[in-house]
Order: sequence, then structure tokens, then C-alpha cells
Amino acid sequence: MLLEVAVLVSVGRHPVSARARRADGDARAAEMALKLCERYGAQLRLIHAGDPAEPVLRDYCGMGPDALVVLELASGLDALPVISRYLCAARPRLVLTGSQAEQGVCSGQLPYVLAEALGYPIVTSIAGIELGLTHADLFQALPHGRRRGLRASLPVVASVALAAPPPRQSAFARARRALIVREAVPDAPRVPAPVYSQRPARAHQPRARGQGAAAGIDRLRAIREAPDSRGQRIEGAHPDEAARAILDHLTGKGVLKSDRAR
Amino acid sequence: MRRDPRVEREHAEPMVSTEAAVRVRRDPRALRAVGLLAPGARLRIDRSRPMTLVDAAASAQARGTTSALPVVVPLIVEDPACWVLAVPDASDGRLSLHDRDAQGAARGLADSCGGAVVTLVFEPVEALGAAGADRVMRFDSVMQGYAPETRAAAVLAAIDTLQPRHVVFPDNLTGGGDLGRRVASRLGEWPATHARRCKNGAIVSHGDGGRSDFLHETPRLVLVDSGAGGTVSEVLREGRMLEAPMVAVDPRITDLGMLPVDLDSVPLAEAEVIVSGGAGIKDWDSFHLLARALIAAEGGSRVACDAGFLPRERQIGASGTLVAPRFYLALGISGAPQHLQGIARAESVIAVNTDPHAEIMKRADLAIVGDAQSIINALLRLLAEVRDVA
Repeated sequence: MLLEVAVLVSVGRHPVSARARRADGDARAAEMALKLCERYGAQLRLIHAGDPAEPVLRDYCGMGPDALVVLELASGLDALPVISRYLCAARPRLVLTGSQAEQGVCSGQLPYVLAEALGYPIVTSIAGIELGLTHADLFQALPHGRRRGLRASLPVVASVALAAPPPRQSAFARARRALIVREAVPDAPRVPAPVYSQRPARAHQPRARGQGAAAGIDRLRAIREAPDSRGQRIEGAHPDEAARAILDHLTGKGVLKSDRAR
Repeated sequence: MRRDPRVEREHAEPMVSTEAAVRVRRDPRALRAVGLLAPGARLRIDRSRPMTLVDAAASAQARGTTSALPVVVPLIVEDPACWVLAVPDASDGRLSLHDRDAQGAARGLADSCGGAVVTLVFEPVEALGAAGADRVMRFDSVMQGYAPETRAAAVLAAIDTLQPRHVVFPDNLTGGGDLGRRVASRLGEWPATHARRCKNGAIVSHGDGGRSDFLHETPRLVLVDSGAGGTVSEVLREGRMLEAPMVAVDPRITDLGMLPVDLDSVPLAEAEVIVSGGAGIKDWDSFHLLARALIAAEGGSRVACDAGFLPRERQIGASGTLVAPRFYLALGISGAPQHLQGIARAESVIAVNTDPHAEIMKRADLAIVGDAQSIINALLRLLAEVRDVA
């Protein structure tokens, strides 16, 4: 059975230079999809909604796909209905996206809305994927490098975390060779994208005072309940005793728990 | 937002019970005596602890007076104009700072429309009244593990029952941010994401890769950024339990549980436990064995990386990686200022060094004066014994 994977790619912006580039999350999603093609023989479709002449799209082409589908869209129009209509017609088994855009409001809402429109389940922040016949095993990235295993029935929408493997380099010749296929979605409603008043970001406000006070109360409680253990010092102990002290310290704080097993 | 005591009092008077309406005289000396923490060089007073009856009686007796007893009565909102729902993650039975931001934002939204905050939780969470919750709705037993679809259904059921004016979530990757977006897509609404401030009905959300703020009218669903909440005032709220509606969904995502951590793929900056070596290590093979046995990431000082014992990306310090582990085990590291900068955000540090005056010994929570190499060998023996027993 041929498995079709759709990857939604967008034009990103470099966080420092603000130049247009491959969006990091989208490039990781494309990388993940390319690996799936190599491993399972899946059929890949990269999809972008916007201007087909955008030079950044060539960076995605340079990663290895034969073609990139561009749903033509004038600037200022909402991409969501167009992508949604296109995917509802194509109905791929797996839709991969980044977690959020790198320019614009960056709400991260698009994969959820698409999943709702397609009637697929959605799994977010994934760092790896394995495919079965009727289901996908997805590895969700959590803080501290932890991973959670999730099983979702296919078809599924998944958004890729920044903890996923980094994307391959874009090759110039391949980027030149790949086709950019323009596709029109005639029956999609042309809706103007919502406009918000925008201003340069202001510095993050410090945490409000009431909350600081709450945190302070917690600190005071900690002082009250636990005698100050900072700066415990062991001198002239036998190495075995010292090792025992270290181990007790680690065990007391829950480092040597069984669920941290490799 | 500045507190206005007069407005608060006017607001509170018809709602508090009659006993509490009698103003009681504060006894600052007694409060201070009660809150005095353990003796130390620094005077610390915990003013959060409400005076108990016994404390107050004792202080009154000591001063030969019979003062009226201050009793902390929660503010009761019986018939609010609207509801504001707050959905904190509260992942291990307590509110994180980000959860408190969500509570604070919900509190602010509720206060601006004379409403009350309903906090929705999925497991027992303590002290929600102190975090500004007028009501608590608890869905439990069905939400074990990662169940975003069931949780979204629960939030939708609560929205259906209460018809809240706003619903506030903490905007993070796999908790409230995920849940809030799920709920929004089910409702067909567009939420305010990465919200930083709510002011006069408008909301500022942070976007454009962190370069811009966007201003828009406050929608029903609000996802707040960390550190962005309004003030949770110190007024104690009631936290009365509401009955949770029934939820039944057929989840399409199943939780397979946590996977073992693959240390090689985890960036050093994210590692939870780090074993770090410096000039005091003689046998690096035993160091690697120790890191494996403790399931810890390996790091090193500049000296160790310069000498080629560890790759450069394992260097910890100002010119290497700034790490924030829960535990940092520094073996044979003296603690150059650049290295100490690198471990400034480490929660707990254990240091082993032959020099009792080394800088790292002052930073350490457990400082052991001794030879790092022999202690590594002893630790390996001990860990092997522990494993054999288990």
C-alpha cells in the first residue's frame, strides 16, 4: 500500500538577521518525511500556500523532493481555507507540519484547525515516528530530553518539535532541478487574513508582584520546613564513605529511580 | 495593576459572613512573633501563615489583654455576573509558576467584569483558593497519563455547562497550549496565543518570531505566556467544588508511556543529571562508566576538553554550554569563574576535590574533600553492589 505523506512548508525568518529562510520546524518536518520515504517507500508531497516565485522554496527543493506543490495565493489572503480544501481533496495518510510559523502571529493553530477539518487526530511536538499499517507510533518531545510514546490511528496530523533531528543541507543542483508545481484550488473561499495592529515587541514584563510574593512565601516555607542543607561538607572520609554519601544524596533527591532506566 | 483597598472593601462587604464583617484589630506584634522563622543570622518573618486561635490567645495573654481574634475568611462570591474558566496544567498536584500566571490572568479578566474564576483541574490540587479560584471543578480518574482528547472533551463539557466569558490556559508545548488549541479548533474559534498582557479589553500577544506584539480584542479563549499573568491578589478565595459533568470520548491517541532517555541525543543544556570531570580525573574510562551507571550526561571543564579527554561540545562554562541540570556532580573540578557561570542554573551541585578551598566547594550543596579518582572507583563498586541486590 502506498502511503502518502504531506508536509506543509512555509517561509521562515532568521531570528537574528530577519532574512527569509526555510522555517526550522518545517524543515525538520520535511527531513522526517524524507526519511519515511527512504524507509517505507512513502510518497512525499511538499505543500506551500503563497507565491510560487518565492526563492526560499528552492531551499526545500534542495533537500531532495522531486517537486513542490504551491497553492497560488495572493498576499493578504488567508492560507488556511486553501490548504484545508486542498488536503480534504487529497486526503493524505500523514500530514506533517512545524509547530508554529516564524513570521506573522505565530499562533500555532493551523495544524489543529486542519486536523479538525480533515477529521484526523492530532499529535503535537513529535521528535520521531514509526509507521504501522493502521497506526503510527509517535515520540513526543518533552523537557529534559524525555520522550513519550504515543500511538495514533492513521490517518493522522502531527506537528514536529524543534527537538526532532536537524534537517539535511539543501543541495544547489537539486534545488534547481526540482519542479515547482502550481496548483489552483478554485473552490476555496478567498478570505482576507485577519489583520491585527502590530508594534515592535516590548521587553517581557517581570513577573507580577503578587506572584513573586507567592513564590517568596514558598521559599520561606521551604526555609521553615527544611533546615539549611546547603554547604554540607565532608572532610577526611574514606572514599567508600564519601561514595556512600554521594549515593545517599542522589537517592534522597530521586535521581536513582527505576523509571530513569536506560 | 495597583491594589485599591477601598474598592476591595466595598466589593467584599456584602459578601463576607456577618462574623467577619466586624472589623478586628490587627496585632502586628503577635503576627510577627507567629511568623518568626528559625533563628539565624538573618531576620525572616513568614507573614503568610494566618494566626491560629492558640497563637492569638497566647499573645493576648502574654500582653495582658483580650484582643479580638483575626480570622481569615475567604471571600465568597455567591452570584457572579459571569464565569471565567482557568485550566492550569497542575501536573504533579501543584500549580507551577506558569499555571499561576494563567490563574492571575483569569483573575484579572474576572475582576474586570464582576465575574468569578472557576479552576478546572484533572487531579487533586491543593491551595487553589489562595491562587484566586472561587470555584473548582475536578475531572478525575479518567485522565490518567497523556489524554489530550479526553481533557479537551472535559473542557468543552465545562464550557457547555458554565458558558464562561473567557477560558484561560498556560501556553506551553504539550500541556495547556496543546489543550487550548484543541478546544479552540473544536469550537471553531481563534484563540489569543502567547498572550502577554490583558488591558482594557485588549490583549497583547507576542508573535512574529518574538519581534512583534499584536493587539486584538480579547477573544473567548486566551493562552497566556509564562510570566505574563496579572496579579493574584492576596485575598483568599473560596475554592468551592462544583460538580463536574460526565465526559465520554473514544480516544484515537493512546499513551505508551515514557521512553527511556537516550543520553547521546539529549543536548547538554537540557540534561537532567550531569557528571562532569576536570583535571582531577586520572582514568577516563571509569568516568564514562560512572556516567552510564548514573544515567547521566557527560560534561567537563575546559581543562578536560583542551586535553582531548572529552569532545569540545561537552565543555561546560561561559565558553561552552550553559547547563541547567537538576543534579551536577563535579569531579576533580576546582571551579573557575567561567565554569561556575556555566552551572549557575544547576539546582543541586555535588563537588569532589582535593582542595578544600576550591571555589566549587563554596557553590556545592555537598562538598567532599578527597581524591576524585578513588571516589569514582568506590562509587562504581557501590553502584554494582546496589544493582546486584536489586
